Amino acid sequence: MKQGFTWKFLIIFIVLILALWQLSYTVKFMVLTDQQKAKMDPVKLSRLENRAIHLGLDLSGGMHIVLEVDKSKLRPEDAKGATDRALEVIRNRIDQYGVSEPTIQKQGSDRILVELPGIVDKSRARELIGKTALLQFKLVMNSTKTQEIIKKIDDALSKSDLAKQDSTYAENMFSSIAIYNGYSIKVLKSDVPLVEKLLKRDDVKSAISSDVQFLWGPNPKSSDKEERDLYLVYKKALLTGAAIVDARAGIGTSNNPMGVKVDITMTRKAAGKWAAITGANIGENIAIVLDNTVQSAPRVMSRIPNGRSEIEMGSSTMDDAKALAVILKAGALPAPVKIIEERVVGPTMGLDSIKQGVNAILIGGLLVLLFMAVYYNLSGLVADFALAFNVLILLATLSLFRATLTLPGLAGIVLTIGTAVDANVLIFERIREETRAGKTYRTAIDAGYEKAFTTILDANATSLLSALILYWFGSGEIKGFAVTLSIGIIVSFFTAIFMTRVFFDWAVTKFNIKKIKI
Amino acid sequence: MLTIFKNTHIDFVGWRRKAYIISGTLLLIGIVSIIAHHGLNYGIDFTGGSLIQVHFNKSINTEEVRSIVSETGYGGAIIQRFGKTNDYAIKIINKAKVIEDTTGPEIVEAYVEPNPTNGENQIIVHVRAYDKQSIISNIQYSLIPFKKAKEEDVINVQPADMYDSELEDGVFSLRTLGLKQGEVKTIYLRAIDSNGNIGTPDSIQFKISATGQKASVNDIRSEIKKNVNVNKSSNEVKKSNGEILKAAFEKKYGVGSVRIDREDMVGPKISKELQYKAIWVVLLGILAMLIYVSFRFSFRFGVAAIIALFHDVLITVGLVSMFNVEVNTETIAALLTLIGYSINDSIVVSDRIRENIKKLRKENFVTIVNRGINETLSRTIITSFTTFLVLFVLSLVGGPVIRGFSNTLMFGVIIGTYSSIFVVAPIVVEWELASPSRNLKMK
Repeated sequence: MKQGFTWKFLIIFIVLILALWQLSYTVKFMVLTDQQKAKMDPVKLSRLENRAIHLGLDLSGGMHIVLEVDKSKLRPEDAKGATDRALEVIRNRIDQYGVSEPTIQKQGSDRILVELPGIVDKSRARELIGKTALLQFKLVMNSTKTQEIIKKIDDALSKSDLAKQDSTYAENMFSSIAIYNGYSIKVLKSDVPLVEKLLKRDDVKSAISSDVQFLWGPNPKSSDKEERDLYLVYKKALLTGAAIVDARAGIGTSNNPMGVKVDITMTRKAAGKWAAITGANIGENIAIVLDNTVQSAPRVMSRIPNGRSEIEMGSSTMDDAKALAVILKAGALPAPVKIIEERVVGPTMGLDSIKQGVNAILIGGLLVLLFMAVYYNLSGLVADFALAFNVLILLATLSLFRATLTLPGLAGIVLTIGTAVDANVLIFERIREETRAGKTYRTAIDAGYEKAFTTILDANATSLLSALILYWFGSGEIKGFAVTLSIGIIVSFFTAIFMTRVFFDWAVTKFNIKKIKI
Repeated sequence: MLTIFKNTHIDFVGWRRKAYIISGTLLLIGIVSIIAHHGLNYGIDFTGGSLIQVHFNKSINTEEVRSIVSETGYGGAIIQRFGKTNDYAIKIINKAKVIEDTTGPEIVEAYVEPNPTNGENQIIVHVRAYDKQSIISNIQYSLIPFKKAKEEDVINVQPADMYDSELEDGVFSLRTLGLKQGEVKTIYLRAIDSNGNIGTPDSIQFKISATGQKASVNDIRSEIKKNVNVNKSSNEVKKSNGEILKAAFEKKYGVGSVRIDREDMVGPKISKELQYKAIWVVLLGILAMLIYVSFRFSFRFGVAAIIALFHDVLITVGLVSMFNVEVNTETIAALLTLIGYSINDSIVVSDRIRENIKKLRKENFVTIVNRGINETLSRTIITSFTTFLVLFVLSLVGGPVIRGFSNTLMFGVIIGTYSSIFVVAPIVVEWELASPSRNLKMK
């Protein structure tokens, strides 16, 4: 018998430790101030953030936008994939802007959900998602001229007011943080803001000839790639996306049967121009620019006479090739997008909601705990512990599964507090009846748990059923409610039934209790 | 140790007639209220429109807010004040905001490609049209003035670039075959927006310098290149209702005196969908309970539980109407939670009655039912009490956004508790009295 208790207590103990462990990340993350966050290693920070409870936009503040892609103007064969292309265009811009943890999702066949935490500036968001998708081919400046310009920037900076304040600017400042490798300029991710600032300076601008511009490559997605590409290209577009008829990713290039490639087909009209362009620039690189981001800058190997080009992707994966093909097609066949739903919550409002929700949980919780302790005495306290653990495990589970906690989700926790005690009420009332009928405590407890169990099962099943339907129906916020309610119900089996039972059995055995206060 | 209900022997079944009157009255009041209010007080989730929550840094009375809002052009807006603070919610239902757009798009730029590709006998014409308010659906061109042109003379060009609703580019080609050297050609252009407004026509002219099979780059050049500067305002981003209102408030109270805390915009398509989904989800919830009940209950208890379920949902909706609680997606969540709660309560009472039927075979049916209700009374009351308690707290301190949810569910919990005592069991009793089941066998 004693053996049995040991492992049962051990299970409870382990679950609690795991729950607290999981929740410690949330606590650690929440106590961080913005300054501390800025100082922290970004990889560590994002790891911590991933383990903390994820707050919905209604609590963290931010924008939630649903876009609809209008395919009515596209031919049926072009309409296919229009949503994916629009999504790629939007993703490209949002990546560019460096919004932290954006959500960009396809919903159904023609909708895109965009969630931008922290952003409440509507005009900025519209700029990100509503602007014209512009795909251009631009000539990359050759290496001799690029080196010349970098040198000029270095000189300009060494003569500037910056050099007087900071001696590092005196000598080759720019070329030491923007390293040219003959193809692109590599800039460490941490130096990107500085380079951007320097390029905006008037003295630097005047060092660059007026027909060229600096353009960034995409923001590196994986954290292990620490550099971002910067290209120096001629402003004049050689061709635009309208030139492209089709772009497809494939395997097997003319040089390597296993190589990944993207095949581009151009319109008959553009093919002539392309032949002239490629003919005149053999050995040069041509940048494929989407919304001022260089997606790829392949080298021209030969004159392309028929409008059929092949981009060899080198060491890239098939996924990279597919993404490039999608971007090329997006530039060729943009589909209009329209905002059909937009919800913006300001940061103050979000904080207020958190405070109000937490207050409701604390006050509601305390009142219920108090009531249970008064009404059921010691047994009530056992139920109270179970209830407190229920909320702990519920929160830990939320952060473990990266579920989103929303304001209705907080309401779900409040409701869980009110209803989770139901199981204990059912059991305790049953035990009271059994003792009144003259049974011993051990048998009364056995009977109480046993007889109440089917009723609890029914009650929880119906609540779970309605929560599942709500999950199917609901928008993000309502889903948050359905999730907390469901987890609360499932956890209550463990806390309200298993935990309290173990405790009662153990107490009855250990102290040989003949009387129990229920 | 506290015991509120110890060995009660209340004749609940005996009260059933009174209960029927109460239920009937509540239902009737609800229906009357819904009719009197012309339906429920739907939020923008279901009507479509904008909800803007504004915070002022000083106290401003409702009338003043209302007058500024209606001066700004939102006459039908509903303005609500939250508590003592300076917070207002401004609700603009879709009908209130109709963009009056009667002007068509304007041609802002048009030119002939100066450098057509060698060997092609086509002239490329670029057109750019601009419309501030609506999406441009088509750009048209014709070689005959539009007034004289027949339908077949007018050719539609679909804008090439359709991300931007305000500025659209159209590109078309004109065959050089049949054109005479030295001829001055006029191309008439105009654009149409998505509302069907036709813009003022414009035209460009150019001189054909050479023609024939060998038409080439230099043969055709643009004589007149009408190049209207793109309207500066085209770079202006369309403003949302909240931004427009914020500007209006700031004009009156000064910059920085207003903060938009929340702005929801729900388009008509989404609101239609949400309406449809809301009805479905409630029906689906009831259906799911029906299926569950048919597995778990005997026929009579099942029917009684479902009747009680309808009773609870309908009366709650009636109360929602009576207290003018706003109906939005959160309210639907509350109704669905109520559906689960109502069945759950019915199950507890019915389970006990069924248990007693087996145990007390010799007793009179009414006594058995009464005893079942009495035995579960303290559980029913305690659980309802704790649930009601937390909902009450939530309604009090949880903030305005969630209040509709907690109020709806509070009504639901009261009605649900009442129905599991006064509706479910009496229906079974009525049924039993009307047609006794053999040996009181109930599954």
